[in-house]
Amino acid sequence: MAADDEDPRAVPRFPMPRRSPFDPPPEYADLREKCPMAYVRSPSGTRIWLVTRHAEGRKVLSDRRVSTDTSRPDFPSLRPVRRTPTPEEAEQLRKAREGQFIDMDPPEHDVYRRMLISEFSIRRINAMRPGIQQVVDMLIDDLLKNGSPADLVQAYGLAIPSLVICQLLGVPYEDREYFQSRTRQILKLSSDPNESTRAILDIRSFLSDLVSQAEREPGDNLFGRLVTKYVSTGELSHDAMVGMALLLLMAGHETTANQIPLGVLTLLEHPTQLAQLLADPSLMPGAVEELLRYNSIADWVAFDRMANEDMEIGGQLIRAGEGIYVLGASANRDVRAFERPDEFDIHRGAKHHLAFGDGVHQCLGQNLARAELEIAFGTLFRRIPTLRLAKEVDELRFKYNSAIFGLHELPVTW
Amino acid sequence: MAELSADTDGCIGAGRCVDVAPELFDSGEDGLVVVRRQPDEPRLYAAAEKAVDLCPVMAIELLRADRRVLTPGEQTGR
Repeated sequence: MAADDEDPRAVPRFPMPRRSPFDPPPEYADLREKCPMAYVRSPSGTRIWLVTRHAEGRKVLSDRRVSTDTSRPDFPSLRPVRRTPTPEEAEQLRKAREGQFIDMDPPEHDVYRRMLISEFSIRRINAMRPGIQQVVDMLIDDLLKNGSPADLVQAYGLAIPSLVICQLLGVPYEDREYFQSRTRQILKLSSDPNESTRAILDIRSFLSDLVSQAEREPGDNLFGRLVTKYVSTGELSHDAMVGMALLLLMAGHETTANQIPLGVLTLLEHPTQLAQLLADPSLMPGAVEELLRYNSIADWVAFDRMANEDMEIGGQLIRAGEGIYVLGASANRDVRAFERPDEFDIHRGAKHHLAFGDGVHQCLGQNLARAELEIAFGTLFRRIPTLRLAKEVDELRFKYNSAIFGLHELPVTW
Repeated sequence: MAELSADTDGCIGAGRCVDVAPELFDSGEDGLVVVRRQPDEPRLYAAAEKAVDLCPVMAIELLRADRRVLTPGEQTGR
């Protein structure tokens, strides 16, 4: 391992924090120019390759020779080496993994994903747009009623995905306050790990009750349809369905909740483009694609893989068992794939960013996310055209130490 | 003439093709890709190429007039 000191591809520490609100960690640009594949050592000494460029990133995420099963004991992880779990712990882990197909490889993964494809199709999401618009309008009514200044993270960014997921899953109206308070707690991962673990257990038991309710009386919502189509036939167990629901909640929440306030800030920082966007709402889908690319808030989260066999990527031999993590935030600033990559440009028309990944694990909820973001930005600036920051940008608190980047608060006034 | 086809077994319903080439593709009741028409005009051919490139699981095949299959990334050099 001494040779790592002299290897220009060796990175001493990973992850690296961002140091500017609108740019990936500054080391990425340097690594990207030096090599398509850098590496870091896991605590157990295994090499974890860091994919810095767009083309290689797409190749890895689409490659059938890589695994995303992070529950494997040999999966190269950045976490400290774990002791072997006791039989009870192993059983708990096995149960917690049921239905979590984001961490499964084909063909196991495909069984679960295919059950949900029709629920997240472009067609179905378009049908959900009026419901999302209603949620967003209600939140803006509240903002206007409560008056300025307001914090858009709590009152808007977090509330939108939470309420949309309630609609999607069919959470009864009277339970939404509880649901929102528990999901808020889960997202406060930095506060106290015990509390957030408690909140996850609470949400799991809440979702389990909802699934039981759907088993007794399947309604016309995602739970009802899954029960009718798959639980009643024995293809899907109760626990796996709860796991799936929890996955949808976790994957669809923190991402959108952070992108909304950060996107609002990014647009406010580019007033000429914001004015163009307001004058011509047909520019909105392109603006959302550009915000996804430019902000890359999830970076490499969910893009961690391991090689199942020896393979070559970007001229580099990867050994079976080594990790391969795709740096989405770096790929999305790769000049080989995007002209003027560090410039924010809503007219770019580039849809090949990796914000939603690639391959069989490409984000299931991507079209729901697009709809939420388009409606969130469009409605906010249309209904509150005088919206502006209540503080200077350099006074804002950013989540420099979180896996998913975003803002702690976004104080605005109008 | 180019021939466009889609593999519903591989499709994951991401809908990228429907987004960039709505005249050529639709998502069916099951959320999986449906080819609506062949790219029999140059502008549609360009849209079909984009769809091939954006499909995350390479489920779209575009057979060119010279019978060579267009692979993802080919036309953009990626």
